[in-house]
Amino acid sequence: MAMNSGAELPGAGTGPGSGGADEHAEDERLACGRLLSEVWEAGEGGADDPHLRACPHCSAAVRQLDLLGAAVRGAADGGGREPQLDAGALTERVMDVVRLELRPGRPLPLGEREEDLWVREAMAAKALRAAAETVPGVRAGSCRIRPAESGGSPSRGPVRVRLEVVVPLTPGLRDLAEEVRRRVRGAADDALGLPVDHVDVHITDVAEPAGADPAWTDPAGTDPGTVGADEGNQP
Amino acid sequence: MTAAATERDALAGTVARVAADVPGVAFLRPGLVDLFRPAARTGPPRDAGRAPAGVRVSRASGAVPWEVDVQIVVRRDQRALSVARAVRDAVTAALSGAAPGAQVTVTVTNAV
Repeated sequence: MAMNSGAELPGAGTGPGSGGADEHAEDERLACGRLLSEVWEAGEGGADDPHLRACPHCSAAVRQLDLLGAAVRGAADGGGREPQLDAGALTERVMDVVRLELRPGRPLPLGEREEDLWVREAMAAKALRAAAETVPGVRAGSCRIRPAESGGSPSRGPVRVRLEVVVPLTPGLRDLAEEVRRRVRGAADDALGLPVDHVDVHITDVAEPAGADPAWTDPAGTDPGTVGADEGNQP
Repeated sequence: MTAAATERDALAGTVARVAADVPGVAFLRPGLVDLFRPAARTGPPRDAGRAPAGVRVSRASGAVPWEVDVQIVVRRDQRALSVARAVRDAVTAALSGAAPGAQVTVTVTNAV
């Protein structure tokens, strides 16, 4: 897909505390210096690496990841609606579980105020970003979810979502942002059960649709920095 | 091992078994963080018989109800809230004899 320069988005930017790629890589480095992702890929690929067998950190990691891989495979196979995972998809899901374990984010309230049920911010952000990206051409970036009200710790009230998106260059940016907001609200309710008070959609950049005439210019002179859907003034 | 610790481990084992069997639960939070924070690890490495990292059972004293914390990974086609409620209800029912009045907290950490 063709993207404007400057439209790069963090892959898993879900909130403060999720720093740059280097910081993430450090999180996933074992005490022996190897990256967990490398160890897993080598183990999956059947690499004959003497270090993997001799190193207690690596061999423990391979054992745990084998168990996790089997569990992820079982979850996908048992779901009934999904095709079998190939090796690449399995690796991706296993590493996704690892990343969210390392950086789960804060707990956010699920369901009613009096219930004691929670979802971690990183998982919720992943679901909401995916929902935004069901709008054609939209790429989701940082998604931060915060309690909308101060109070108890952690707060049980409905949350406030702030989502950054890159959108295709179209005349109706405001309508597009509104559609993104509608789908994010839909996913928060349908996929999670997370009560949402407020969704701010911030358009951080526009990307020309694939195959667009590069000479085409926006007749309205739309500035992406000023366009967004914010329901702050609504009840 | 003290009697209290034995009772706690037995409750944790029950919670883990019941929670993992709830439809929509893919597995309990696996506890890979241990790999990176060896200093935080207490006791011998996890074996098949020990409750997973996704279950924590505690109480301040013998006079108050147990507090049970369950962390789950759900299947991606399931609504997180519905699965969390089902886990809470199943665990609460399973502990009604051995730990009446247990306070059950459920956290969904991921979907696969």
